[in-house]
Amino acid sequence: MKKNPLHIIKADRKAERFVLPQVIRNGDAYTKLSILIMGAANLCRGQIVKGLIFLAIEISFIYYMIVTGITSLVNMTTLGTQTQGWVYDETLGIDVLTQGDNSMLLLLFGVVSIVVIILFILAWRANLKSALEVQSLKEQGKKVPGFIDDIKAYFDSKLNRTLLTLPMIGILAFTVLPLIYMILVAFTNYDNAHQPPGNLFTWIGLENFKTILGSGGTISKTFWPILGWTITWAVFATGLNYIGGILLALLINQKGIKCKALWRTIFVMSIAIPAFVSLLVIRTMLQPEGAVNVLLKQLGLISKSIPFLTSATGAKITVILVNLWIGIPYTMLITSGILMNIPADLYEAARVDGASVRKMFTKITMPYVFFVTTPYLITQFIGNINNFNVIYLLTKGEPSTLAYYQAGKTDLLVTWLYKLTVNSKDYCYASAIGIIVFIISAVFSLIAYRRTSSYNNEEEFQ
Amino acid sequence: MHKKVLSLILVISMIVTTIAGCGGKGETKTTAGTTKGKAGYASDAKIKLWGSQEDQEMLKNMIANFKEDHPEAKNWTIDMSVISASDAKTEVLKDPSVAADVFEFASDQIAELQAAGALYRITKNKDQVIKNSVENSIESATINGELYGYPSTANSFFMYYDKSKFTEEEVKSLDSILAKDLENGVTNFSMDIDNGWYLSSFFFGAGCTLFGKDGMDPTQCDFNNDKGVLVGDYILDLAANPKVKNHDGALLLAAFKDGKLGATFSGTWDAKAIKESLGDNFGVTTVPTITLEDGTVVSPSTIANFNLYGVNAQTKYAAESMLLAEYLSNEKCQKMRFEVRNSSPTNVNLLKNKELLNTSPAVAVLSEQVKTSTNQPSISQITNFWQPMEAFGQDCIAKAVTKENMKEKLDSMVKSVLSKLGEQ
Amino acid sequence: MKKQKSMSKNKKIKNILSYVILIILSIIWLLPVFWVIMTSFRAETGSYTPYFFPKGFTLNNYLKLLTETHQFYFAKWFGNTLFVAVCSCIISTFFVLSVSYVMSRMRFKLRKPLMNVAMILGMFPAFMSMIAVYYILKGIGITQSLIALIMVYSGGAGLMFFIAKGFFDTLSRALDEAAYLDGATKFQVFTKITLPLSKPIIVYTVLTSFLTPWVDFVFASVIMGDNYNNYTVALGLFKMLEREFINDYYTQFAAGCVLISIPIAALFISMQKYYVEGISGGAVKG
Repeated sequence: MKKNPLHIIKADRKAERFVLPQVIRNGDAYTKLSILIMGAANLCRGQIVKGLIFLAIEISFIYYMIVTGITSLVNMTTLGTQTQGWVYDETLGIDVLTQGDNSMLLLLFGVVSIVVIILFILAWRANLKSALEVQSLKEQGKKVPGFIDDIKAYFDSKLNRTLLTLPMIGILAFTVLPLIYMILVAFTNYDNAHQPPGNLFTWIGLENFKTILGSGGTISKTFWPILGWTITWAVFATGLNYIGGILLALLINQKGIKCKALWRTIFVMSIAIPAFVSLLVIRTMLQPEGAVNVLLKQLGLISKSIPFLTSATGAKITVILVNLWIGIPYTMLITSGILMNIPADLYEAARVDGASVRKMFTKITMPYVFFVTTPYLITQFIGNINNFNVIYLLTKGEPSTLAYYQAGKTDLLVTWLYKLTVNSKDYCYASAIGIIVFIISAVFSLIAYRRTSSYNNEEEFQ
Repeated sequence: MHKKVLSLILVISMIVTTIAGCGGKGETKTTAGTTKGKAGYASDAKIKLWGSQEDQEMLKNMIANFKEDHPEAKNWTIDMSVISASDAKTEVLKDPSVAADVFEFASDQIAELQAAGALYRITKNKDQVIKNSVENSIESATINGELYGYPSTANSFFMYYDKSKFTEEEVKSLDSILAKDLENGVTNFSMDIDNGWYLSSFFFGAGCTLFGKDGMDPTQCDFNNDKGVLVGDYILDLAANPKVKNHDGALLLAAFKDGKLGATFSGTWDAKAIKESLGDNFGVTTVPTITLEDGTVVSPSTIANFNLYGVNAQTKYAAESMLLAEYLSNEKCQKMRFEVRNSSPTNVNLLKNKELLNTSPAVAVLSEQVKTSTNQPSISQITNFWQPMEAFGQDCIAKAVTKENMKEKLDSMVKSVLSKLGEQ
Repeated sequence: MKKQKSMSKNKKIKNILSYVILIILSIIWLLPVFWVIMTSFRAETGSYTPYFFPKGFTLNNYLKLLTETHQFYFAKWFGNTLFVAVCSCIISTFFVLSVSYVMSRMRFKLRKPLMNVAMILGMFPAFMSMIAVYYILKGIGITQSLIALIMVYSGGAGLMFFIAKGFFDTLSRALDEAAYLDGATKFQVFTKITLPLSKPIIVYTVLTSFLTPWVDFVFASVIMGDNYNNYTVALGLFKMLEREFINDYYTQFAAGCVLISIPIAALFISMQKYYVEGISGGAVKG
């Protein structure tokens, strides 16, 4: 790595976060001018292209703020005041529409403006840092890098910035921005009764969370049981997949078993086929008159259809079992390699001590595999909490129950909130539930990750 | 070098303008056309029309006829895209500014579309439209005395039966259907028991109401009154009867195909498949009567909804769109719909034309059935109705409901139907 | 001697038992696959039959699916999906590899914070924000186009770097150091040294991102709206299961399922080895 030439900044590490005070304290006239006119220092010291880029950013930003930015921010505070209206036109014999405000778009534009402002502040900071950098170089009498040198640096010491730029833009536009919007919706009353463009919605603070988490309300009576089932499901789906996968891997990897690759391929079929297809097909097969019941009846094994998906308990067990169908091979693939890596002398020693097969499994195999795969388990657990596909495609959350609002016995929080957005358009409640789901997963996984060795000793693996 | 700088600034300013465009007003002011021709219609109107994929051919012909019958529309551009009546609400509300100017939608969506301000109020030719359409279709298109849609087709369910298994006399009453002993493995009667669309007909028939008499009051539902409890008991018996099966669409078709089913409730969409399966034994009739425990004979009142043509409130060509929407729902087009798509008309003249209707027995029965139907409420509270009804049906099948706790279960069902999400 | 014999006998029993279990499990695993293939050749229409094996077999379901354009444009949608899948998997792979390389090999101030943020972002249910995504695409002016779908599927790909990063972490750094001594830039090391060694993880990333467009129906339906021509197969297949179509189209649905599964499954099984290496190198070390 090349040495960072920012002596001034290095000298003042504590204040590194705040570039502005440094500029005021240490900057010369050109550098200070950069506070107001971005890129001034670069321009005056020969970094023409860089300076012009900064200047262009500033001009575009000011242009954007004047054209829409400021109005967007102001509108965001109210989310619109003018309701859409109609005026009857006698001569035409029809109504004429007078446009009103669209709260949803105002909110979205507001979010865009905020993101633009944040990006601008980052650019502005970079501009000041760059100003300090050239100043320091000049003072030491070193050569100021030209544009070509800068480009070169972006493929070497600053490669991280180059490689991260495009992915970050994508994440910003398609993940972060929509997410901020969604989070903000949770604090409005954007529900069924406040649909744009005919109606306005507005900020209501934490009301939605109170309604959902409070006791006795229609929605909270649904929320708590569904949360319970979501967690039960995630525990079983993850745990059984995990154990099943390891057992299957052990079974196939036994010494006496021939055609290991063939067996593996058979089980991998369930990963290779898109889940969308297999789940919809299995859904049809498991109906009371579906292929599985028909087959079992033809074989004379049962006389009455098994209610795979129609009774509450049956459906709950079925979704977990079908999830095994998809999940076990996955774990099998991952653990196969690990199992083969377990030092053989560990088993040898145990055998000498007269340990049974079961004991070796619980005392050697499981702890070893568990140790290596904890991060995978955590990801799986979070993935199962948010497992939209398996539930929605397999049961649609059914069977329904009188006890829940707009949800069925096998609905997870995610499928429920999908129903809330698609069926009843209660966006604000759905968003609030989304945030709650997120908090649960985030808290869980941050705690869990911090405990894993791979997080703490990241460097050791390399 | 300077050229590079210049092009850079150009690119950045382009990006900025795009972002600014994204943050801009987004909407354009509505003006009723630019160049006004005869009768206030623009001569170069541009209208987008939505219809389902299977209707596209037919709509093309209708538009050709439209341009012929209305010379002022000769130079209009009418674009068609595929959105079916059942998806209209979702797509219109997603982004009304790019939605079609004229679209077909199911009447159960009207209250939400109107509440979101997405529908144009119909004022022009209103009396004519009302006069031409059968009364309950107009009801379904009316909110607070104002008309918001042009009725086009009617939709409800009725009974299909196998003539080799039941006589015309027997299918008049569900009790006589169930009394008969058919050969082994044959189900006398099947219906989608865990589906409010079918189940509600028994309650409506007994005089219960959903959301008040006009279906507009989200605080009213009396499915749990004394009559309702009797109906509930009847449904429970039905679900427990070994001669009855809980079949949804795909299953009943399979059952008819194997000759394993006597009679079932369904709509016109299954007519073709069932006719193929039953051949000469294909029978259709109105929904049979049921006899409650206290001896009262009830004629179920099936839920009905209508496909309506609506005009997008955001349209730039309001008058022109209305002309088109009205045309697409007129007698001529409804006749074409009947012939091409086997749709049941709402036009009074067509409904009087028995000779025409009898060419499709299913539609003839449907138009008969609709006379005693209950309009499907369209207020947004209706989204709360299906799920509790489904749950009630499933609980009846699972025997989680008994005659002892019937009142209690119906109470909780009604409470569920009437619940508001934000309530504490 | 006797003991040895009983041991080998035990072993034999154990082996037989293992085979029996494996065979039973295989039947369970292959049953849905077998059934859907069989249904796709079934001559009788409808989604349910009261018997397990079809009474007649036909190729018509496939022919109709691919040639009839009266109701569903399956062939066109298949092409759309393939195009979207190829483009978005190229972009996604590029994004994922870039981010994971940076996170694995470079050290900079924002590294840990960015990794934490990425983990957090991955935990929000994605479809919650679909309306906002729609309006962002509209702002850029590309709704209802295949480009829009490509951007949606690959835009957030940069967040999925954890597994690939884990893989890069396991690659030895000695080569890198040697290259630096020879005066190579970091970019050269990335493209000339690291990437050629990363075949498994590239295959893994390509596979996972290739799959998304085939199975997503939530975003596709929001973005395509009334543009029937630009639908993808998942949307079309989902539509076939609607009440009006299910009876006539179920066997064609099955044929469609088989058709989209074949390329994916073939690709997957042939690349299995790399996939396993990629994931077990990456997933377990997070």
